[in-house]
Parts: sequence; structure tokens; C-alpha cells
Amino acid sequence: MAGSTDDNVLVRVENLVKYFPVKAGGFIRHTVGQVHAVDDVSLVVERGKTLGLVGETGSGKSTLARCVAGLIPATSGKVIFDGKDITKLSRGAMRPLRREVQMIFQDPYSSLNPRRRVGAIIGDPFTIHKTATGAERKRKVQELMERVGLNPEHYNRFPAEFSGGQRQRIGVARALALRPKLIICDEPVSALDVSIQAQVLNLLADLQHEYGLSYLFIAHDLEVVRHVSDKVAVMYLGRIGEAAPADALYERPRHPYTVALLSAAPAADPDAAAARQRVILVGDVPSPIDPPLGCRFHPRCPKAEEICGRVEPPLVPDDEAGQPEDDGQSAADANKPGAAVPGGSLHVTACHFPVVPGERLASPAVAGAAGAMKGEPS
Amino acid sequence: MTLTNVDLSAAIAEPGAKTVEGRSQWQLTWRRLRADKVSMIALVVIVIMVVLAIAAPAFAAITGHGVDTAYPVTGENAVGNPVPPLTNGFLLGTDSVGRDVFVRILYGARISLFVGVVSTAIAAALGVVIGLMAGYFGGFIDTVLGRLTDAVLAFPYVLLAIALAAVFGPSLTLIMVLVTFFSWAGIARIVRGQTLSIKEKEYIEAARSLGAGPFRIMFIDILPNLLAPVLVIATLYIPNAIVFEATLSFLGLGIQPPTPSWGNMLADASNFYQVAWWYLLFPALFLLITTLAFNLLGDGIRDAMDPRTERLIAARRMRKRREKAARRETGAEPPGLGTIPDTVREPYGG
Amino acid sequence: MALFGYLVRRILTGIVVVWLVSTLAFFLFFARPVMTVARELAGHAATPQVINEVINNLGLNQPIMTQYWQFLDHLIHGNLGYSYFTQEPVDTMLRQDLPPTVSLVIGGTILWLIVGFTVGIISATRARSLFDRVANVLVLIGLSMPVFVIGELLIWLVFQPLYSHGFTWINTGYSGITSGVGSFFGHMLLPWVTLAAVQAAIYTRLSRGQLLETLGEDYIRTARAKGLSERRVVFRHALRAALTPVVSQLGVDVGQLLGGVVVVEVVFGLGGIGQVSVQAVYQDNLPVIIGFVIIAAVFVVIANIVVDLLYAALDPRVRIT
Repeated sequence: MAGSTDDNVLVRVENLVKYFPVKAGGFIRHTVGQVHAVDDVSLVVERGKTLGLVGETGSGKSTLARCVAGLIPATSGKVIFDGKDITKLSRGAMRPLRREVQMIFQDPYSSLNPRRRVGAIIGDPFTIHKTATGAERKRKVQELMERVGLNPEHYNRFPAEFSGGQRQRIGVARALALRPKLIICDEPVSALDVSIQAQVLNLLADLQHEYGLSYLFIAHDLEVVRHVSDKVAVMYLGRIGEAAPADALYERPRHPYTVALLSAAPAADPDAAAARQRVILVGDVPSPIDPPLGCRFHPRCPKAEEICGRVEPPLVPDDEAGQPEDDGQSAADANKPGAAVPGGSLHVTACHFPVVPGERLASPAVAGAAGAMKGEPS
Repeated sequence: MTLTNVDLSAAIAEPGAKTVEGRSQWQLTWRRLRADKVSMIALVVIVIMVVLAIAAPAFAAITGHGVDTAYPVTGENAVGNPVPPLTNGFLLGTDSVGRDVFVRILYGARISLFVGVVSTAIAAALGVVIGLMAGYFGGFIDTVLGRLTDAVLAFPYVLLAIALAAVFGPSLTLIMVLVTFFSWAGIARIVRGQTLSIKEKEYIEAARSLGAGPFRIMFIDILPNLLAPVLVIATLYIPNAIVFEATLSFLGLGIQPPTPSWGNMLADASNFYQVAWWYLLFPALFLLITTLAFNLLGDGIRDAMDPRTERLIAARRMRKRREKAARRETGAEPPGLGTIPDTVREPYGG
Repeated sequence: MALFGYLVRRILTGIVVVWLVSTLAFFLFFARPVMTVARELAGHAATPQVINEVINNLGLNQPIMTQYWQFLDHLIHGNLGYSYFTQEPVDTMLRQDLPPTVSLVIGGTILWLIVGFTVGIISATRARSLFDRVANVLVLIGLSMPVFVIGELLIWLVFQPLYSHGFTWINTGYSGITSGVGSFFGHMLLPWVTLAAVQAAIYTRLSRGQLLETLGEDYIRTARAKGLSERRVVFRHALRAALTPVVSQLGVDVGQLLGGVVVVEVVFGLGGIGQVSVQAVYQDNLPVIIGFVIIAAVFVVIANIVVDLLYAALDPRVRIT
């Protein structure tokens, strides 16, 4: 069926949970607790589209990415790739799948083996999956190098001889080698200078258009995410707080955490920046070993009420935003089963008291202003 | 929007991209090693020793003295005792039955160097494989291999040497087996430690995400990063192997006379030191110089591979000199048990 | 209480180890053609009658497992066999030869520990001083020298000149403590130094390195900042942490030590069990060799237990294992 959500969906994650055991004890090591890295997350990545995943350190986004990539086994839940349930596959069964799902890593300085030559590194996928050898492999590697903007004559150089941005390109070339369907980008530009970031992001965008790639793009920098993503999901302490098509999220954020994040990002337009309100959150991110009861954000939330500490808010499309967003999606799409999942077409929020457009949030750092912890519509 | 869509692909040659040929890690290490005089001397000594060993038959021919041939006429004095160095064409004198000590020392060098280098090489190969597997797989395999390694490390070698020599009879093969057997464990332990830390690096995770199997990761991704520390420790194990062989031969459990080995020569010499001190001194000297050279070279390679320590040591030395000069001027005395050490790991004691 | 449990566990493990070693030794020696075994047991100069006697007495014609049980049975009763070569039971021989070995080990160990730690500690607290540099050079030489070379050099350069000038206190060979304390020390001095030299070098380097590293730690800096004297900082605070790993190294070194003991006994003619066993190899005297292997295993196990206890006393975390 044309336009059906299921055809369009490349990756579907259902209720994914990942806990890491915390062990203690000298000789008889026993588990004393669990790190709730990912706690019941569902999302979809549509074909040829980019889902951006934002969050602070400790939000679980990297863990989630690795579960989707099959690098870490999930504690429970499902990952369905291209219609196939890949959650419980053995390493051998996963192997052919590795050609379809690839990863680009954050640190260009440690994601490439310093003792191997670049040609060998990029050629690895061909060697591992036995798709090309010898001269043909070299040719393909050099084609890749050229495609990502590297000089193919540097085939025999070591990673140390390249700059950070170039190394990321090497990583991109390596990920691209077998023409995967999905590339998971784990903070691919966070370690790069801003001017270089633009180049790499443009490269990724070009490749997406040329090869029909889907991206799961993880970052903590909001502006970067907005630039590349079609849909964005915001994670906090192992759960998704809010998800929407990119523009909708940025123009009409509903979750207080999203509002706070956005307020902290520098804005290019000084007038818009002045109009925007700076919300400063109190305290640090709590430990994922012992997440707060109810809504995980409530200890730091300026709008928190009693119910927030008791009941975990479900991830639902808001009543007020129940209409499909103004981003080209049709009403028919909005009613499809996958629409209300993060990465789908609807704007979903997990909050008992979502922020209304025009609302100003109280912030303790804003001296004097609205002393009470409750939000007041202006 | 803080980012623009300007096409910057023309600026692909980013600042920082090398237009000069980069230097590999090995080249840099070699340059640092070259600057270290002590290591260079040690290396030269080793090379000379190797050359002498290889050329042993040549020296036998030059002097006209065979390695096993006794020369009762020229090689013994009137009362039947060995002659001292530089008499009758014996460069280093003769031994208890009138053989040329110098020639025998050179042939002994062959044994020592051969056993030392070859046994250590085999032990290194074994140690790397076992250390890699223990470190990479972890869990049960690591426990089993770890216990095995510990048992071998703690095992009294002389026990096994005596037992095996009794059963199989002493021989070169036996010595090589023994030396190899006792060398691999130390190497395996170090390799395991290195593997554990390398395993956590992102490029290993990248390899797994590409679908690489464990053996490919171990030997193609991890191993190249191990070569440097393995080289250091192998160089430091060679003198151990040489000493081991010498000791076993000395006890009579190794190379049997008349085949010369520094060990069995010294055993014989210990009975004649009163009349032929040269017979005791020179084999001992050669042994000592060889092992010292390997030890110094090994230390030097280790320092050359870790430039950070070098610079910190040099910086400390400069600071100490300045402090000392300042103290002399003011006439103050240094307190207590000495100056406050830095948080630097001394290569020597490390 | 935990310490006691630890001790019990260690002893049990030790018994298992000794049993393992004995079993291995047994099969290594006895699982061979009867005639070979018999000839080796009877010794070099045995006549065919003696060989036959040996076969009969020891039941060498029996199936190997029966022999094994007999072997274990004898072992538990302290019977280590009979040396035909010297015409006496092995355990009598070994008991006679034990005193030199024990004297050597105890004296040598004390000497090496004292020297090693002292020099190491002083070197660490006076890093890069003249003392430190000289010590480093000596350490390096010591590490490069085989034990027997040190022994021979000492004999040649110390014993010989002194002796030939009438100073006979320092001597080779063994003189039991019962024959005079003075002469005992005179005979043991050089062997102790020889045994201790290489080990002291190793421990100097080890303790120096460990202490240097510990002294660089933050809590030492805090202690100094509190105004404690340097002496106090080193002795009360740094030493304990620094030396624990060194003590654990001791356990591993016990095995190496045995080799040194044998060599020193041979060089100085002390006649301890090490030297006797080596001679037994020349003489193809199998019973003595087997006896030595087992005794040595027991010795190593006991030494290991002692070191483990020491380590557990120093570091409470270890006791749980």
C-alpha cells in the first residue's frame, strides 16, 4: 500500500530494555543493582530518512544505538530490521545483517586502528564479508575514498597522518563500503571543529540522497540534529521524553526538558534568542542505577507536581496537538498505527503538564521573576 | 541556524593534512633509540657478539686451533697446567686439557645466542597466542589460562630440569624445551594485560560492528598494537634464557662436554681457578657482557617507545638543577630524607 | 577467623599440589620399560643380580596402577625408597642433607630481604641521587649475572686470596652450627651473599619502583601537606601500600629461589639436598631424584603458604579468596 507506515519503516524498536548489572563482592560476585540504561523505548526509523536522537550523557542513547546495531544484547524488547526480528540472533546469524547496518563512531582518534593502513581499514568490510579481493578491492576502496572526499593516493597512509575531519571521512567510507541500508551515527561530529562539522554533515546528507540511506543520528548538540534530521526524539535517563518531526519539535517543544535544552543552545538570530527564555535546570542528572519514581525528570522539572513523582507519564500525542503537524504529513498518515511512535509522523510527549506555546517556565536562576515552581501562562 | 549549506568540498585539503610524509611509530622509536648512547653501545656489542659467534669456525681456522682439540704441547706448560693468554698463539689461554679458550668461547656463544634468541622467539609466539586468547575471551578461558600461566610462573624450574634430565638425558633439545617452557608465561601475562586494555578501544568495537569474528580481531586488529610491548619484553627475556642455559649447563644438566657452552666451561673452570684464572674470567666476562647488553637494550627500547617519560625525566632534571643552584645561592639545606619525588614513573624502577 | 579459613584453604590446596607433583613424577619415572627403570633405580654400578633384586623388591613387574598405589602408600608413611647406589634409604639421606639447605635458605632470604628493601627504600627516597645511581648500576649488573658466576667470582676473588694468606675463617663446604657458630658463619657467609645477590637486585628495583609510585599518590601529598615529617610519611603511610605487591611477588619467586639454592650448593660444595640431587642425575640414581622432587614440592608449597599468609595479613581484601 502506498504510503503505508509499515512499508516505509526500516527499523522498528519495540519496548527495548537494557539493564547492566552492577556487581559487588570480593569472591562471590553478586549483582547489587542494575543500571537502567534503556528503559522501555520504542521508535521507528523510516526508509531514507533520518531519526535524530538527542540527550545528555547518561541518557542511554549510545546504549540504544548499540542494541539496534546488535553489538549489545537487549535485556528485553524487540528490534525489527526490515521486517526481521533481529533481537535474539546469534553472532553467526547476525553476520549477513552486518552488511545492512553500519556504525560511525564518535571519536575519530580512537575509532581507527592506529597500526593499520587506511586502505586496509576501509577495505575491512570487503575482506570480512568476502565480497571483493585483491586489485578489485583496492579499486573499490579508492572509489570510496574519492566519494567521501579523500585523496585515493593516500591509500597506504596511517590514520595518524590525517586530520580529525578526514578520519571521520575514513570512518564514513568504511561504513559505506557494503552499501548498508541503515547507518547509525553515534555523535559523528561532536569531536570535530565547527567548520569541519559542516563538511562532514554535508557529506552525510549527500550520501543519503545518493544511496537512499537511513540514519539513526545520535548527538547532544541540538542544532546539529535539527540540521540533519527528519524526525527527532529526546531521551532522558533511558526513556524518550518527546519525539516529533524536526521542525515541530524545535518550534513547538512540549516537554519541559526539551524546552530547557533548547533554551541552552545558542541561537543565530539575536532577536529570537532574546524572545526565547533561558531555563536553567537545577542539579545533576540522577544516577541511572536508581532512577526517580514516576516521571524521571520530575526532580529537576520547573513544572513538577505531586502526580509527577508517582505516575510515569505515557508517551502520547497531546490532545492539544492531536492534529497532524504542519509538515506535509497527511491526515491519513497520522492515523496509521505507527504514527504515534517516536520517529513516526505525530508529535508525542511524555509529560503530565506539557508546555503550552507561549508559556514561560519558572527558573530558580532567573532572579526574582516568577518565584513559584509552577509554570504560569503569560 | 548556525550551520550553513555552503559547499566546502573544495577545502578538502584541510589544515593539518600532511603534505610531508608522516613517520610511522617504528621510525620514531628508532630515532629516539639512536639518540640513546647506552642502548646504541649495547646494540653494537650484541652485533659484535653475533658476528663472532657466526665467525667461530673462521677464528678456529685463523688460530689453527680446533674447538675440541687439545694441544698438550703448545697448550700446556711444563707441569701440565694451562697456559695464560697470549702465549703460543692462544689469545685467551688454554683450558684444563689444553684447548683454546678463545675458540671455545666463540663456539659457546653460538649455543648461548641460539638458545637465547630462538627459545625466546618461540616462547614469545606461544605467549602472545595464549595471552591474546585469555585477554580477549575472558571468562572461563581466561581463568583456565590464567591459572596455567600462574602455575608455570611459580614453578621451580630446577625441579623440572632435574627430573627431565634424569629421564631423557641432557641435550640441547631438552634445554630449549625447558627454556621455552619457562619463558612463555611471563610474556603471556603481559600480553593479556595489554589485550585487556586494547580490547576496550573504539576501533575494536568498530571491527565487531563490521562483523569481524574474534580470531580476526585478535590477530589483525589487536596484534599489531601488541608488537611494541612484546618486542621490549622479548628483548628482556633473552638474557634470562641465556642465563638459564648457562646455569643448566653449569650443573651438568644441559650441554655436555666436550661441546663447549659458557656454562659447562665455567663448571670446569671452577676446579682450576687457582692455576688458570683466565679460564674462569673470560667465559664469565663474555656471559656477563652479553646479558648486560641485552638488558640495557631492552630497557632502552622500552624508554624509546615511551617518549613521555623521557621528557618528564629530562624536565625534572632541569628543574632539579635549577633548584639546586638556587639553594646553593641562598645557603638553605635540603630537608629530611631527600627531595619530593614527582608523580612520574621512573623507567628504571618501573 | 577469616584468616584461619584462608589458612585451611591454602593448606588443602597445597596438599593437592604435592599430590599432583608426586603423581606426575611417578608416572614420568615409572611408566617406562621395566628394565630401564630397574637399571636406573639400581644405579650405575649395579650387577644383574642387584637389578633383579630391585625388580622383585619393588614389584616393577606389576601393573602400573598397582605400583602407583604402593607408591602413594609408601609416601604417606614417609618412605621415599631406597638408594641402591649408596646403600641407604632415601629419607635418611635427605634428612642428613637438609641442614645445609635450610641454613642457606633462611640466611640467604633474610639477607636478601634486608638488603633489597633497605637499598630500595633509600633509593626511592633519594631518587636520582648518587646513591641511587650507583645502586641502579649495581642492580643492573646483579640482574645480568647468573648465580653461579657470582659464586665463582666470590670464590676466586674473596675466598682464594684470603685463604692463601692464612685467613681461613671464610671457607667452602659446610660446617654445622653444632660444630661452632663462628665456623658456621664463616662457611655460610659467601653462599648467603651469592644467593642473596641476584634476589636483592630484583627486590631493590621492585621496591624502589613501587615506593616511588606510591610516594607520588595524592594521599601522600596530603600527609605531607598536613606537616608530617618525611620520615613519618614514608614509614607510616607509604611503605605498607608500596610493599604489598612486592610481598606477593615473593610467592612467585620461591620457585626461582630453589634454582639458586641448588646452584649455590654446588658451587660452594655445601652438600645440601640440591647438590645431592644433581649428583644423583649424574649417577642415574632415581630414588634420590624422586625423593628430592617431592621434598622440594613440599618446601615450595609451605613457603608459598607462608607468603600468602603474610600477604593476607597485610592486605585484608585477599582473605575472601
